[in-house]
Order: sequence, then structure tokens, then C-alpha cells
Amino acid sequence: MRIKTIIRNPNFSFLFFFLFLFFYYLLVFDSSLYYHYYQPIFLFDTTYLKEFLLYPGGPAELIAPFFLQFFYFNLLGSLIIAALSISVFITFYKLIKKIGDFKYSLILSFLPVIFLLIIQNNYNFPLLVSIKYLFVLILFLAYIKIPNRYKALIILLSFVIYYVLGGWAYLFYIVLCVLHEVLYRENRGKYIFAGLNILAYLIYPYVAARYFFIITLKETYLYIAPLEFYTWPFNFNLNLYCYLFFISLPILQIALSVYLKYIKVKVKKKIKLPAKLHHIPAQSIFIILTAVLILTFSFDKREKKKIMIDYLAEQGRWNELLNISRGMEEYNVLIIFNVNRALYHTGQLLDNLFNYPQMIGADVLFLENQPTPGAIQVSDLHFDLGHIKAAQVMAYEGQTRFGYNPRMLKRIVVTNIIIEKYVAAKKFLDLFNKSILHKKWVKHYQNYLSNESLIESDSLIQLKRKLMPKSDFFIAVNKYSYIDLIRLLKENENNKMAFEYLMAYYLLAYRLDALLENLDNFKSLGYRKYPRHIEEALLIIGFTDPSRNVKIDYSIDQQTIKQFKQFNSILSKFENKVQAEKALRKEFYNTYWYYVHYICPEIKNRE
Amino acid sequence: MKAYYRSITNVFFGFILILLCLQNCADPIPADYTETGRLPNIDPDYTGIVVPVNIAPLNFKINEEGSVFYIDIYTDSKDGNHIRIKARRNIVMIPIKKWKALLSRNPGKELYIDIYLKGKNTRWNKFHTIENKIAKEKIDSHVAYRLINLGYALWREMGIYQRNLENFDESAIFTNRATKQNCMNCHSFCNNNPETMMFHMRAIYGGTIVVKDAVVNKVNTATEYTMSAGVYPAWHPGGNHIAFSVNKTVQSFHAGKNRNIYVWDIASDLVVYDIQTNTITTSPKVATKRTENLPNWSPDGKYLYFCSGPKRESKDGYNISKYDLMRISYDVETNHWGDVEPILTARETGKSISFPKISPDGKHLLFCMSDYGYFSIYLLSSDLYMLDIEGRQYRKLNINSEYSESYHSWSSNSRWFVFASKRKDGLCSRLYFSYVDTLGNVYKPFVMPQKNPTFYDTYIKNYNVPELIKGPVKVNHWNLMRGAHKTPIQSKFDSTVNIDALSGATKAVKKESK
Repeated sequence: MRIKTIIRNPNFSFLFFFLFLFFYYLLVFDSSLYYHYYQPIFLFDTTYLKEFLLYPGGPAELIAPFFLQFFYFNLLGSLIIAALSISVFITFYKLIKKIGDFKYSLILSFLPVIFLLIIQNNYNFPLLVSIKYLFVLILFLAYIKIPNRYKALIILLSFVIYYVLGGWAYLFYIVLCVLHEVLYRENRGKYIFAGLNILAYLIYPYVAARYFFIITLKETYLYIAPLEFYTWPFNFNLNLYCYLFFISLPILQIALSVYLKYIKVKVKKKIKLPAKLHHIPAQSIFIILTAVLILTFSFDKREKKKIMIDYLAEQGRWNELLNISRGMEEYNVLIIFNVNRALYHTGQLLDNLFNYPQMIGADVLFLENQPTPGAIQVSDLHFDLGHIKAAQVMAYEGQTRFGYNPRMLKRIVVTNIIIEKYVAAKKFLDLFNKSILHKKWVKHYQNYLSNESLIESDSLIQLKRKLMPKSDFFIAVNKYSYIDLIRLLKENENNKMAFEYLMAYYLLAYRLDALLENLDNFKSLGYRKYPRHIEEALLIIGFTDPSRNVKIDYSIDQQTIKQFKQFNSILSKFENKVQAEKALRKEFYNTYWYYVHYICPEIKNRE
Repeated sequence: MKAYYRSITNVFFGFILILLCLQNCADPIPADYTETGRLPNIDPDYTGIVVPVNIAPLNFKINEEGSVFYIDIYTDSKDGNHIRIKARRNIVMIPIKKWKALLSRNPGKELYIDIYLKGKNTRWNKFHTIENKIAKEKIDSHVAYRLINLGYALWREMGIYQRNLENFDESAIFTNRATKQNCMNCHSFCNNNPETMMFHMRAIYGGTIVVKDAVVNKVNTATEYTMSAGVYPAWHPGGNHIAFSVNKTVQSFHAGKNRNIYVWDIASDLVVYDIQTNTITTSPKVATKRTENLPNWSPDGKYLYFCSGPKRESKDGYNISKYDLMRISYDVETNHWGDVEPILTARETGKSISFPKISPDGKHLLFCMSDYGYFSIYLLSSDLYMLDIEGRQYRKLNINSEYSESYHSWSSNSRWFVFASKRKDGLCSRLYFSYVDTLGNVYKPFVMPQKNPTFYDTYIKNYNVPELIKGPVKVNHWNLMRGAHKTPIQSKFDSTVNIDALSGATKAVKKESK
């Protein structure tokens, strides 16, 4: 009997649904990837806080990074996002209850949540939109409860709501208030209050833009999220589901009003029936099943993989990175860029480079000539190479582009310590120390500033100091980054990564003459044999120019020679190489020969 | 019952009142103390400086160990006015009203700061008295600057701001939030007048915003005969003309640990924009194969001072290029150019001259000199120098640091200048102010005071291109935004200029554009 009572209580449904969402976000969505993607930070710093107060909508946005920083821990992030979703659900439920007692209140309340689950199931969706939405619901709930005698005052003071939430959320709030006045109030003043609300929406944003804030008219009336969310890498846009999420409640308001007005008697009868409670368990099951379906179909696994790959690259978990990137069907420059780094770090770059599609050729190595500014990732690569100043330049660019990005701030600190700019390092450490999440990391490096021996015993810093160029030169950009690899090698001939990347560049750019010039280095760097792709390149050279006398230190593997013969034999069976492509792809897609014949942009451009 | 509550309330407020009184009647100066025999370590360094009579309180942090601090601020006047602060933290926030009163009553007097401190169980220690001076002359009430992040190529948020130097109010004149986060730069004012200003916008909404008599116009100063739109500006004192350099600029980043970036020009020339006729003019004399750059007018408006570097050859190393200081007479009424005359050459100085700025009284020319190049804010070796215009004698100022000093601007009364320096951390530029007496002596600079004296410790934006102005910019951001969103008015190129006589660089661009 008692269990029955519990499960018929809507709160049980909410709890059940909350747990379901929590485990979904914890186990499937992985909230820590959301953190990795956005790199949020919350600083207890006046300057940082002030930045959020300079535009309408900013104060509410201040809450987002505070919560988002806890997404660093999957568990906490999942709790927060599940709590946010369930809060929206509960508030909806309370609103529906306020409107009337319906048989399917729970399901009705769930309808807008469907859209929330869909849009929030996407890493591109800024959480601050959900937060603003929840605020509006709560404020609207409060508005409904306000006696008429205070309403004019509340409408007058609603500029505070506008300032805290911004134009779009304010519009949403006003629409809810106006509809509520018109559809559910029965007193004469309802049109006056509705009119006052509309007037407030027309006046406050205009006055704000005209006299107080440097924002455009469009922004003042319709602002929802900062501009950076609309650009790379987030590329957020208000899609159909977002609009449905916002208009679902007004539609419900209208629909329920119609329902109450025209089927009122029936409803009244049903309200009297206590048996309605037995619908709750059934509704709960329906909701969970619907949620499972929605979450399954709206979740973009590929997007998760993309972020996961970048996350693993940041963590230096190279084998895992290669494992999950193996199944990727879609070509993505950033993925291949990270895969190439992983191949180097696992000692496979020159053996398995062409196991992955190198569609844009050499440009992928340094993310050159790309429309999107991958400053963070390029900084990582330069850091790997020991090209410390280049890593730092990109870190400053990244910090400029993405604000107080913890990943970039950490890079700035470490590179400044490496180049012995301790005052600059201290500045960023002091700033970073204002975040509650990174105190341990800050403490670790703060100790370095007062104790040189700690720096001397830090193997990473010592390695980077050893690798970084001692002489000065201008960092090469735009298609010339390979020149820096040559310079890095000149500075330190044991810089194996610079060497392998240079060889990879020569392979990808089909610069085999330059590759030959560096063939000696394999022996001096301690290779026991030529990597597979180098052997494949040497076979091409031997095939295209048999008279050329190439001095090699290691003999070419018989298996590679055999494969090359097979490749040529298949190729010769067809009239031209285009026809042979299909036959060759199956067996030789991962060879340099296939790349040269069918992918290499340099050769394609020449042709 | 009501009477009971009233009496409770009275007691409560009475208690508060007594507390407030006690707070105001600060403790007496510690009588029993030990002299430390040295100056206290305070940050920012506000010791031995000359301050304007209208400056905001110089709040500071005491970098000394102590648990109680006592600060006594007073002058050498006999009025006995003191500002006394007892604090348990080492942050000294001076009450603005008392500070204003103290300074305004004592122009020309010495300003003393005594600092006492003690530990939990120790005696009071007293440091040497900090001796500063209150100048009789005011500084212009506002300074306008751009705040930019540390990145060199990318940007996001950016804006031109103004700070009231008489208090701590900072407000945005305009930010790129209203212009889709485009780039804005090179703001400039005519005769320190906040009513007459300009700035450029790059990329989206590109153009030059010119504000005159509260009217906002947007102009495209690029023509088919100039290699770029106007870059570095200089308002003619008459307010109807702006001299610009036109530049083809390149940024290169250093891989070595001691330098960051080098900004240099493949080519540059000078042009003059006539606001009234919307015409761009130039002369073969300032559009040569050399790199003419960084114009600045003499206060009488008769001469255009500028820097001129050698033509860059591809074989040259980056650190070869050194700029001379030149001037040319130009009559804005008749559009007549005189002859170029060298004022100070790189051969004489062994260094490269940039950013010449003449004081409004026409007596001094403040400029940067560095080992090479002209983009001094990025050059570690950049220092400030002063040229006595009449005697043509120049000297290095004793206000320089081991880091870059640049972007200087005079106050309207010629007694103050502001400049940007990276001396605090070698990374971020901050604004410093120096007093110049009537003899041209320059005094130790002080950093722009902030309400929170630790503000600069974690602030990671650069103060860029400070310009002293006589009051706040009043043109509303709304009008600026409307102007910025307009399609720019295309400027005309002066038909009387013989384009074939212009520099090879300009011709090359002409060819390219065709």
C-alpha cells in the first residue's frame, strides 16, 4: 500500500527521471567532454565579474561558467545538467498545475522537456540558454502568483529581468506573461497588464541600447548567447528544436486555454476523480521510454568522438586516441591532425601515416590554410616539438580568441617558465589562482617560482629547454611551417619529432628529393630500419628514375617490395589509373603509393 | 510594545553612531616606534614623484610584513591637514574626498606619506617618509586608450575606453560588441579635444570614423592610388585635416626567447585627408621609395613631422631598418608642400626614431628610439627621448626602463605626458604619467592609479595608444554605432597630384589593383 502511494506521487517520477538523466549524462554523454569543449573558468576576480555586467543578459551568463567549471568532473557535471533538466521539468509541472488539474499533467509538462533533451544532447549547445530558460519559468511562476495590485509595479521593475536575462529570454518571459493575462485572467485589467508587458518589452531594450549599453538593436531585443558561441568551434545556431523548445510553452498555454474553455465540464468532472493518481506510474514509464528514444536518436556519436579525440590528445593518451579514431568514417582535419600527433607519439608516424585519410596533404600537419583558427591545437603541436615560442604565440592567440581558457592559461604559464619569464608566469598563476578548480595546479607551479631546484628537477621543462631553439629566427607561417622543422633540427639534431614531422611533410607534399637529402638521419637517430612509408617512397624513386643512384643505409623489406610489385601489376591491368583506383583501394589504401596516385593534392594540382 | 522596539532601535543606531565616530577619529600617530632606516616597499611605486593636483587617490599596497598598518598622508603646509588610515591589511585605499581636499589646497607643495607597521607582538616600525610633490598644473582630466588582449593576430573583444583621471571611473567610448567584434584601432583626438576624434575599424564595417562637432562620419580613406587606407593618424591643429601614413605592414614572430614580435612595413607613404572636401592628397616628396611613416603636425600646423626609413631590400636583415626624423612644410589652405628637411637622423643617433609628438607649446618633441624598426611597443629597446625644438638638442629621458616605452601623448598644457610601458611585468603595457617643468625637466613617472592597487597584478589586457583629453568624449555610443554601421563615404584622390611621380610602392599597388 505504501509503495503504491509512493509511486503514484509525481515527486517519485521526478526522482526517477532525474536518476535516469544523471546516469545518461554520466555514462553516455560524458559531461567532462562538455568541459573540454568549452574550457570554462570562473574567477573570483572583479575584472572578470565586471565583464558580465556590461551587457543585458550578462548577469545570468555569469552563473553558467560557475556551474560549468564543475563539469571537469563527469560526476558533478552530470549531476548539474540532470538537475537543470529536472528543474525545468518540475517548474513546467507546477505551471501546468497552476493552469488546471489535468489528467496527463506529467506528460503535458514533459512535452517542452523533449526539446530541451534534444538540444542539450548536443555539445554545441550553450548551457547558459537552458539556465536563462529556467530563470524565465521561475519568474513566470512568480508572476502568476502576484496579486493584481502589485502587478503594475512588477512590470515596471521588469527591466531588472531584462538586464539579468537579456533580450531573447525577456521576450520569452513577456510572451508567457501576456498570454497568461489574456487567456487565463478574467478581470478587466488583464488587457492593461498585457499591454503594459508589451510596452515594457518595446521600451526597456530600446532604452538600454540607446543610453546604457553598447549593443545593436537586434542584440538588445533578441540577444540569447555571446557571439563567440556562434563561431568556430561551437557554431551554435538557433535551430528548429531550439525554437520548438521556446514556443512549446506558449503553444501549451493556448492549447490548454482552449481545452479549458471548450471542454471545461468534462475536465471538471475528471478533477473530482481521485483515481487520476493511478495514471502517474504509467505516465512516468511513458516519459522514460520517450526520453530513451529521444536521447538515443538525437545523440551525435561522431561529435562525441571528435571531442573525445581532442580530449585524449590534450591528455596525451595516444593509444586510446588511435583506437577510437580508427572507426571514424567522416574526414575531419582536426581529427587527422591529432591522429598524426598520436602516430608520432606511439612511434608509428612514418609506418602508419597513410592508414588514415590524408586528404589535404601536408597542410594537415600544422593545420595550415584552414578556415578555422585551431590556435589551441597548433600550440600543442609546437609544444610537442619544443618550438616553445611558437607554442606560446599560439597560446596568446588562443587566449585572445577564447578568453580565460584554462588550457591556454596553463600553456602560457608553462611556456613562460620554460623561457625563464617568471614575472609573466606569476601574473598568470595569480590570475589562475582566482579559480577554485585549479588551485592545486597553481600551487605546484607557484613553488617553482621561488625554488629554482624544482624547475631543474622537472623533466618536462628541462626537455623543452633542451629542444627549444637557442638562436633567433622568425617563426614560419602559411605553408612554410616545415622550414621551422629544419631549423629545429639544425638547433638540435636529436629532435626526433621534428625529424619525423619533416619526413612526413616531404611525403605528404611529394618532395622526395628533399626526403632523400635527409635519409642519413635515420641511422644517426638510431632507427634500425627504414619505416614502411619511407621504403615505399624509396621504391617510387627507384621505379620512376631507375638510373638514380640512391645511397641507402638499410635494405628495403622484401614484403614491401612484393607489395609494390603487386600494386604495379594491378595498375598495369587498367587503361588508366582512375579505372584502377577501386581495385587498388581495397588492398593498398594505406600505402604511400595509393596516396601519391589518388590523394596527394600537390600532384592533383599539377595534373 | 512599540516604545520598547523604539528604544531598542535607538540604542542600536546610537551604538552604530558611536562606532562611526570612533572610526573617524583615527588612532593617534604611533609615538613609540623604531626607524627602519629605509623607504617602504610599496606597489605601485609612488615614491619621489610629481603628481597632478587633480589626480585620483594613489592607492597602494605595502609589500612589508606586518599585521597593523598606519599611514599618515600630509603636506608641508601649515594647515595641519592629514589623512590618517589605520588598516589591518596591507592595501591602502585613500578616501577620495579627503585626498581631493588635501591636494587642491596644496598645489606646488610637498606631499608626504609616513608608513608605520607592526607585527602581532612587536613594536611599531616607521619607514622613511615618502616625499612626493603636488604640481601646480593640472593634467587633462581624461585619458582615452584601447584595451586589447595579448594575441597579435587574432582578436575578439576590443574597445576604446576613457578613464577619468580625477577619480576611478572608466567607461567605453565604443567597443566592437556593436560591430560584430571587428578590429578597431588608432584613435586620435585633435588638440586634446574630446569633441573631435577619429578611429579606424578593420575587417567587417571597415572604414575610418571621424567625429567632428558631434557629427559622426565614416570614410573609406583607401583610394586606387594609395597602398592602403589611412593608418597612423595626426590631426591638423585646424581640425579640418588629418595626416595619415599608408602602410603595407607585416608581422613576424621571434622564435628566440627574448623577443616576441616584429612589425615592419614593406612600404609606406604619407597622405593628408581633407575632411571638408573628402579628398586625399599627397606629394612625391612624402611618397618616395623610402618608408615615410608616423606623421605629427607642429602646433602651428605649418609643418608635418614624420619618420622616414630606408627602402627595404629583400637581402636586408630585419634589424637593419632605421628611421630618421624629418619634417616638411605644408599649407593646408593652398595644398602646397615645401621641401623635406631632416631633423634628426639615424646616422646621428645610431638608432631608429619613431612616434614623434610635439608638445602643444611647440617647445619639445617627444619620440621613441630603438635599435631598429618603428613599431616601438613591441621593441624591448624602445626608450623615450626629448628633442628641444629650438636648440635641436635631444636627450634620453631618465624615466625609461629595460622594457619598451612607447605611445606617448602630451597634455593640452604641455606639462604632462602619458606613455605606455611594459616595465611592470615585461608583458602588458600600462599607462604612466610624467611631469615636465617649464625648463623641460622630466620627472619620475607613476602608473595610472587604480581603486584596487593590486589591479595590475592579474589584469591581462594591454593599454594601447593613450591620448590625454580635456574632458570625456560626449558623442554617444549610439551615434557612433549608427555611424559605424553605415557604408563608408569613398574619399577622392586629389586630381592635382602627379601619380606617376609617387613611390614605386604606390605604383606597384596601383598595378596590382588593376
